[in-house]
Amino acid sequence: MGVDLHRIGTGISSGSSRNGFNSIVAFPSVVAPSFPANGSYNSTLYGVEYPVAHGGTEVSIDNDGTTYYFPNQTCDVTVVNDGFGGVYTAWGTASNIQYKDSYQPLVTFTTNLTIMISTSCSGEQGPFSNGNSFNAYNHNGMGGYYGVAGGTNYPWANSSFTSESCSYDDGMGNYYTYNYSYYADGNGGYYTYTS
Amino acid sequence: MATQPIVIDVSWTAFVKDKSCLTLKEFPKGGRYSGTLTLISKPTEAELKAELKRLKISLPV
Repeated sequence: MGVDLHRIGTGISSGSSRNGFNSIVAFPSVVAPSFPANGSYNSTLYGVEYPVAHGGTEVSIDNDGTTYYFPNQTCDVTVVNDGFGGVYTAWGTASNIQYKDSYQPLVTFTTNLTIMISTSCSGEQGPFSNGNSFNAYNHNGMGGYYGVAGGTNYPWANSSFTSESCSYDDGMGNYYTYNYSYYADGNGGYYTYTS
Repeated sequence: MATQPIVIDVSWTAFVKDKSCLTLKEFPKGGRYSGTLTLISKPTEAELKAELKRLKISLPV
């Protein structure tokens, strides 16, 4: 009979066994490691976010018709031992519960913008990416929020959206080709010119 | 839905917003524009820059 290495490795077995040559193999008794008792103090976390799931409160913000919720409190909380060498956060010990400071960023909503272009010979084309709009908010220190920035970022003027080549027949066997390029105006619009 | 563009005649044209010229472009065969900027067009680049200076409109960096 072989030795159950796993059981030895975990330190919960002792005694003897026979090896593959029918000899007695002896191994010493192993004392299971002891860990701090479950629930005993391990450490303290200071100023951590107080999760809503564990008793914290939240603030709601509407953006484009959707309401979003964010935790708005911090706390000090004790980390305790679990009796098996690990730890867990004892949220029931949360103390020094405060609303997040007014300078702390809360959220920035960003909306990607697009543009449709009425081309000279291919009809309406797009949508093409045309920058983004954004709204940024901070906590206000009292559980609410305030806006800190907002605006729109358009592509730089002269950035190219697309281009096309068009051929025209003048009805007398002559063909003409025109190249059109479409550029951002830096303000959400576009211009085109023939080359 | 795209906004129907306006026609730009053969010209040098400045695209202006709040007393700032965002871009300045030559349209040797004309062109079209769709947007909300103010367009100022002149036959030559020199004439256009002179007009922008007269109107106290800053040129693109």
